[in-house]
Amino acid sequence: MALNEMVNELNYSLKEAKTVQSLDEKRNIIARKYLSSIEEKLRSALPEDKKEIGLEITRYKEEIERVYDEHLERVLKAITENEINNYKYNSFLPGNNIPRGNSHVLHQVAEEIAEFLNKIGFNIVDGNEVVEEKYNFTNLNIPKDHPARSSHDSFFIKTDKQKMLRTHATSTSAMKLEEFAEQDDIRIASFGNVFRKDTEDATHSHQFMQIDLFWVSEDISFANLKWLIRSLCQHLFGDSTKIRLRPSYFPFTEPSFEVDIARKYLNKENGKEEYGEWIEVLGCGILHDNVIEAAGINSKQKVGLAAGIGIERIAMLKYGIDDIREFYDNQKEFLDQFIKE
Amino acid sequence: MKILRSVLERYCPEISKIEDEKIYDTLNTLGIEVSSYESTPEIEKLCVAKVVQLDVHPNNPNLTICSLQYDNKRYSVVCGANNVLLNNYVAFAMPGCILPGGKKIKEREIDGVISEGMICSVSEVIEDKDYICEYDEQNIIIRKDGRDFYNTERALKWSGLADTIFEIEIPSNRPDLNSMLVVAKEIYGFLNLSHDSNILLEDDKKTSNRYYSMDSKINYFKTVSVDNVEIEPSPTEIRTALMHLGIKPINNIVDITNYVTYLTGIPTHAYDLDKISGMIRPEIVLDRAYLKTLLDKDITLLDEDIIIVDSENNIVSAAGIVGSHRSSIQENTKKVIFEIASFNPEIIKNTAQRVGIETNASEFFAKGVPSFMCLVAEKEIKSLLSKNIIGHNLTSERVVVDLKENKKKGFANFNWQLVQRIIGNYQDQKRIKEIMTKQGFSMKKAINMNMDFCAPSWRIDVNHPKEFIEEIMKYQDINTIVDKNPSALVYNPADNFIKKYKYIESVFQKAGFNEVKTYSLESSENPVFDSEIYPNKKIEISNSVSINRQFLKTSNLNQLLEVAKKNYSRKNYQLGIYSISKLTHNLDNYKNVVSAICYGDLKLKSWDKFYTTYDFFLLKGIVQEISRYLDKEVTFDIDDFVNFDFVHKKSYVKVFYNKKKIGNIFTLSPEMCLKYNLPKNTAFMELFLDEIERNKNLYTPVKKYPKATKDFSIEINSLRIYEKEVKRRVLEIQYVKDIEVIDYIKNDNNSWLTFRIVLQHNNGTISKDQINVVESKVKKILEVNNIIIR
Repeated sequence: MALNEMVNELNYSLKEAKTVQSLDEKRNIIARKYLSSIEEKLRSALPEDKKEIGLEITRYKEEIERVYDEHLERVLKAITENEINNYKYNSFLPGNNIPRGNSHVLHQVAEEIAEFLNKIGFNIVDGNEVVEEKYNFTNLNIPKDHPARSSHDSFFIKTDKQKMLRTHATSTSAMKLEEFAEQDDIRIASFGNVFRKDTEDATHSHQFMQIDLFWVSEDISFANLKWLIRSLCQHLFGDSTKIRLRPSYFPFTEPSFEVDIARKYLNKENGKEEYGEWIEVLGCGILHDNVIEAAGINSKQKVGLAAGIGIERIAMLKYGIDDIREFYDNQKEFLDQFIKE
Repeated sequence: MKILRSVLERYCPEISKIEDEKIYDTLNTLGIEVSSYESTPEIEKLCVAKVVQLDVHPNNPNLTICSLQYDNKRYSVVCGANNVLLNNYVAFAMPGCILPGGKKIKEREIDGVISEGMICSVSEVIEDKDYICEYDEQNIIIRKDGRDFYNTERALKWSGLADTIFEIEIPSNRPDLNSMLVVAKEIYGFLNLSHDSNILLEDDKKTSNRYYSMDSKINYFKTVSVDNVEIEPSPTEIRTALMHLGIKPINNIVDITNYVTYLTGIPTHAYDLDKISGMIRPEIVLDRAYLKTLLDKDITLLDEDIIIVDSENNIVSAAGIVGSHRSSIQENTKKVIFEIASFNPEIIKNTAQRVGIETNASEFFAKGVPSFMCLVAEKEIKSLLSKNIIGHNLTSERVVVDLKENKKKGFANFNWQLVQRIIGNYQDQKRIKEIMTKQGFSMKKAINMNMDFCAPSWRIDVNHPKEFIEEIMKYQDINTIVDKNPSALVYNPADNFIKKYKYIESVFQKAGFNEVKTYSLESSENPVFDSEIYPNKKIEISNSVSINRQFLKTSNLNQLLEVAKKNYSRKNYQLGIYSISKLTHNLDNYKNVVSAICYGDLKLKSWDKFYTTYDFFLLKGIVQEISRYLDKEVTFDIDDFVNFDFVHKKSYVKVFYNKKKIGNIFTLSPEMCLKYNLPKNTAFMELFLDEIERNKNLYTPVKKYPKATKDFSIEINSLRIYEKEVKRRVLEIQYVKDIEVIDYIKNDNNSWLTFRIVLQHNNGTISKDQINVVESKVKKILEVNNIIIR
């Protein structure tokens, strides 16, 4: 009778408990209430009765444990459910940000051009930004009275007026041409900063980057130059890019051309793919005999192809940037946009 | 330089059938870059109407009531101009027409008579009113002929005011293109137009295909005198052409000289012969000369300048720049002398700059238009005189300085095979000959299968075989030449400088650093100038653009600081940037260098947990990581005696490679951080890359048996206990090869120390259990010494 009474009371009491701690506390209170009287009875009982009383205590304890376990299971389940329901984080949020940097967009574009040239055997070389006037102008067939040679257009070194900051990467190519003059087939592309005394605005900077290439060999021609330029433009702007050459004038090439490209775009009005406007991208030509001779190469035997590419111009077209100063302003918001995905 | 479609059409009528866009494409294909072209749009409700009746205004005798017939309707319009004539055609602005400038035409009452619109003058229908002459302001547009345009709203086209203006850029080797006639000739030849061209650049046995030298101070000087001249406004076509070119028409004589200047590129000048004593001739100033110009300015001419004087040695003009006030053409002028000359462009340019007068003429002379064009200018003047100035007599012609022929130039002899070789494709010789002839070139077979190529006299830029080949390519349209894959496309392994330092970049990029691009020139403000770290002398540019770009940089610190400052002010509270660039330390040499600056803590996006601290130690870590790619070990040396105001005294290390110093890492001094408004942990590093050698074989296997490491962080009162009790005993434990302090922080209450032990087995890879044994032994040592493990 008392056992059933205890089980009922225990069930009633434990039903309210929500944590393991309160479960324990309530169990202890009920256990003490019922077991203390029986334990007292055990102490004062005769030796022959002790066994039976002992068994009774065991029965009580077993019953308490059984009821307790039932409730414990319920409480633990509730706690787990509660934890899951109140989980603090949304698993659909993105993972932790592992920092990642990138190369400057100008270097990325330079690399892209260099990769193409490298593939067809061009050596990408590098040279000093301070050059002798001879390599910047005289060897490149630029006459003494050419406006570019004045201090109005180019930077000269104060202590040594024969030296200047190169106005085109062609000066480095011309130096390297002299170095490689012995080779049958010379393919060089020089890359780096060049300087011109321009007033800074959205499209002009006193410093910018160029890649300049020379290919001097016996059996190459204008048709090959056209192939080279078309392939390069398609490498940079996609296979559907069209090129157009316009005759122009550079002192170090004869004939000289300026190259325009036209890219395909989707005309939203009629839903058709169309070619956009012609945009000027680079200059090229066949090296002037005087330039080849200045490097100690026989101009009667060899033909030289040349092209000069402004990296900023390509980057501006490729990524739709309309102010050249963005490249040198180095705002993190700008830099971060060119992290490769 | 402006090119007018109307002028092209006048000299090559077939051009009128060609659309503007085709002309634009043609000019571009010919290497004449068109920067823009614009045509005048017609004005709505401005129409060509016929004057059918004229009545005097009943209330105002100065006004006329004109009845205009347009579209089978009659309009009665009150007009104040004097030149309205019966049965002529006029430009009639109907009610509702909006004229340039916003004036809206309505029916309105003028002195009691209703006027149903307006008869317009040039000044009323032209947008740009700067170049309108007095005549066009006072007189209406009126023509006898209007049949083709009658009853249409194409009044501007009819009156000759509609035109297309092509703005072209001329390559520096083609001064001849400053002549509109040459441009017309180029289009005519390239588009293979028919022969009825009026271009006066036609072959003439005396002048064609000769190279005339341009080396003298005076290359050519000729005068043409006429009398019985009536000074009046120029005909409409010349007036409108000049207006479109941006020149205000003055009178028939002055306008002819200006018009011919644009046609031929040769500035011509006219003087009043009655105000000159005898004939005129050019002279070089010996000492100095004074002139009162027609612009009412007194100028002084010096040695070497060229002047024009008359028989009594009175100066009549500063050659090629400006005429004297005295001899200018006035309304009462009857006798005129024209000057046609070619001077040295440099002399004219210098004189004009010095006296501070830059006229249209001086600008044209400075362009160096071929002297041959003088002969064309003379023909043009004569032709315009006979067309437009009725009753004049040609009284005398005098060549003072004649053209000098240079037989060595404008001519080349070479083989047809060279053409094939340079172009790389088969070229149709016959067709090319046909096109080239149209452009004025001549080709004749010479001995040994060679050809004689001869350029027209105005093409002073064509002398060398390759220059002739360029012309051949140009006139047959370079874009039709098929491109060809080079036969020699063999792969030969090539260097790529751009990839040389890729491995260094990858280390920075993995740590979240962005590459930046900085200028090579900077101001003298750079704190590192003259400091011991960079002892080199700064190199100055003689003609810098601004004081901020005056010196070649010897360190990237200044520029990176500027970038960091800009970014911090834009609330980028964490930044890591690097730059691989060149530093010029002396004129013959440069150094490749990698520089980096960083500050702030990188926090994770969603929670406020710290991820990386961008400080001195990150930069040191990056250098350690770079060192893994190198041939030899990189070591650091702490310098406690550093004494530069931009360096934090307690945070400066020198970096060594192969016993050579290759760079520095330091935290910026608090003053510098304050000056640039940057956080206090801002750190900077710079490594010279030319000294270090990359380990070619990056895939070297791990040496013998690998090492394991284990870090312990302890609370400790003094370093002495660590040195005496811990370090010595730990080293005694089996497998422990090394022990080092990697972090030590001390504050007022306690101090923390982190040390790392290096474990290695002598003949195998150390096992997990062995590491556990070592770990428990270390813990025991620490417990014995009452040291708390964190």
